[in-house]
Amino acid sequence: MGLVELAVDAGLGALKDAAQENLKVDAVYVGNAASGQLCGMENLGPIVAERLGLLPCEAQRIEATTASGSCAFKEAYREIAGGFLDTVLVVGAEKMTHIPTEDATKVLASSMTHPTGETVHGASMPSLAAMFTRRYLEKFNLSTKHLALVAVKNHANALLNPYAQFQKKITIEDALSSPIVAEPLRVTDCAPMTDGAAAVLLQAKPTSRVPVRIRGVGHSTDRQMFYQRSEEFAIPALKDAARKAFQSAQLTPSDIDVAELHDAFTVLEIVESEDVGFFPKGEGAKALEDGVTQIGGRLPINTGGGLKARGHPLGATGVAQIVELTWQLRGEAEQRQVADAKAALACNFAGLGNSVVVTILDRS
Amino acid sequence: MGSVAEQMIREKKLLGSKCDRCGYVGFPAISVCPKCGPGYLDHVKLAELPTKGAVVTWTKLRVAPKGFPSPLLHCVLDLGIVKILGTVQGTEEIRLGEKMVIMEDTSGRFPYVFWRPTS
Repeated sequence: MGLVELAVDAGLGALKDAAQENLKVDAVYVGNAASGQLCGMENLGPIVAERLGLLPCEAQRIEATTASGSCAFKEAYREIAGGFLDTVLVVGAEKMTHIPTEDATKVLASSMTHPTGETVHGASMPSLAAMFTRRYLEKFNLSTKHLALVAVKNHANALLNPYAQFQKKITIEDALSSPIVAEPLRVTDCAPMTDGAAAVLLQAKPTSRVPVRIRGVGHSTDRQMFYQRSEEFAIPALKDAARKAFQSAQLTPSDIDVAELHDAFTVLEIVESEDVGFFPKGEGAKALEDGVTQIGGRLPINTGGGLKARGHPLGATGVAQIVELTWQLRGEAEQRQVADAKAALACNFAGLGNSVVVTILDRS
Repeated sequence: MGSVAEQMIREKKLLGSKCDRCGYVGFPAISVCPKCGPGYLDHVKLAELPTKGAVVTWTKLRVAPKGFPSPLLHCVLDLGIVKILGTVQGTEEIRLGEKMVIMEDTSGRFPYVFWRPTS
């Protein structure tokens, strides 16, 4: 499918799920990271809104690299919470696999590395993530086996998600023998190139058969070069975004039953599980090792397979996280259902935590 | 500081910014000090960077973005006042904490490159 077809397909899915006659959609926001460079196409908002037959309405594309999806969702939420709009369709979409990996890597590098401090040195997301990972593993005395555990868990979860890109179980041995991308990262430590789309419909008044409520959204932006931030082993913007989201939700990390974290690289799931407040600093890997974050554990993370195995269609990822959590809160996640999930958290970000959006949902 | 570094500074390849109110150093140069804020614009000026530092972290990127040679040895160097990224030339293995000097890239591909000190 082409980029527009992917977006339309997901949009139709959300409209069908809403199942309302005489549904009036006030706006269509499309989260997309790089359609210009990847597909030679801009103006996705109006294109998708027209194809869905929703005109006249507001329509626009929202871009914040890999946080485009959650930023589109945040803007829709604020328009509705502010009383400006009643119903907004949020679509996230990206198509990446049709171009050679080397070219896609260049597009990703140009959109997520610092233009004059990193891009000009040939830095790419894997090289930056590798350098962050090396520091983090050394600091907390961890090994690449801990990284492998993230990939093994998320691949196992993806096997239970029919929408996931990878439908393949992997073992720790598979992970630790996969090709090196940039020491200490191997192929299984990096999210893949993915074509995909996701969509959700936001409404001011609950009309869905099983409504899910947005309790809080926090967004924070930090310096692009991770080694110039205020903390070396954490993602400061995530801490700030999580603080804002929990404050707005009037909840605490211990209230969360299921979470979607931005595992573009395996180490990030561990780091985020600490910075969002689930585990103390340096203890995320232990929680993972102890099975706390697997389905059936106390706090399942990335039940849909995460970016690692569900796939990482840049601008769609933030919306796909919301969709997975919505299914979980409605009790519609089938084989990967977290028992009695009442509150859920999503973390989606740009680059290595350059701009972070944290969203908290619950069952109303 | 040798003539190579002086030349890079002349060509603005090793110029950062420094806030003379709080001492914050930015590289690449920025206009507003992130600590003092936009109320103190006159305090942020262009400043020369040191030309050597210690390795904070590194990696060997097997497949570089299109337009760059593969593999690429990337490294973050702590110059004491700011940390910067670059490519390391002339070696395959790097030790955490070891010293590197910042040199002009004779191939002209990179703004600057890192080398082990010769002495």
